[in-house]
Amino acid sequence: MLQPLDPDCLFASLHGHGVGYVLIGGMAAVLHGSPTVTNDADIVPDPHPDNLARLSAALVDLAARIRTVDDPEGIRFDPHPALMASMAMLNLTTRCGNLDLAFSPAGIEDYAELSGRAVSFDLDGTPVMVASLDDVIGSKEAADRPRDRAALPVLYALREEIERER
Amino acid sequence: MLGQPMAPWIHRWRQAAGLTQAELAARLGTTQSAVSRWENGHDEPRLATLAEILGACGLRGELVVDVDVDRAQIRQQLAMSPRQRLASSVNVSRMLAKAGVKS
Repeated sequence: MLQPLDPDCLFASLHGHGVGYVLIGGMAAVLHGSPTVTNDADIVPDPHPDNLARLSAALVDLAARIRTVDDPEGIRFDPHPALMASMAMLNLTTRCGNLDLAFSPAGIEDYAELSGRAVSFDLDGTPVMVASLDDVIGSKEAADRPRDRAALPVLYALREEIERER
Repeated sequence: MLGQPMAPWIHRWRQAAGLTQAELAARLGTTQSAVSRWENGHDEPRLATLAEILGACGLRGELVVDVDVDRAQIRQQLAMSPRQRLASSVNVSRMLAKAGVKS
């Protein structure tokens, strides 16, 4: 079931089901201009119950399974909105590649504020809400894992280059 | 070392110290399952916790970030459209995956 990442497929399904979310993490950094490699999509879903119901339908459409180190095929699960409302994080494998759901990501306390600062990118007609570069950086600073710390120098340089171009 | 998977390192540090997972967990004030998750790569500790793990294993070390930032490459990316940036990143990721390199 391990599928190569197909962001168009992923975003089309989320958009098609009307899911409200903000893209964070490495893929958000890439869309802002980070010259890094990404192999999954990290999103913060709007936690409103109606949105979680739409997300649940999208996850069924995406044939989402829980991703684990030991089982590359993933583990079947019922993406019930109530389950997602109780989770902090879900690492999934889908027919469009790996998708991580971060319901309470490090450094981000409020979805409305994150969403308010997000930037909309048009990917061939599919709108994708992408966290601001400051929020991407803030989230990595707060997470403070080795891979986050390693990513930060590039993101700081990217922010400087964007400001320099303005 | 940063940017590399930490799981094998934590396992090596604990084994070098002659500690069981439960003993290391007790020294850190955490659970054996947390140590197991770190060693299996299911979870990744924060840098501050990594420093505590080193200390609990009787080791001393310096956790450093050693990243070369190529600003020319960043400018190249900024000259592309977001769609091109994403396609480029995903293509490289696929090539690395085909070559058996974890990105």
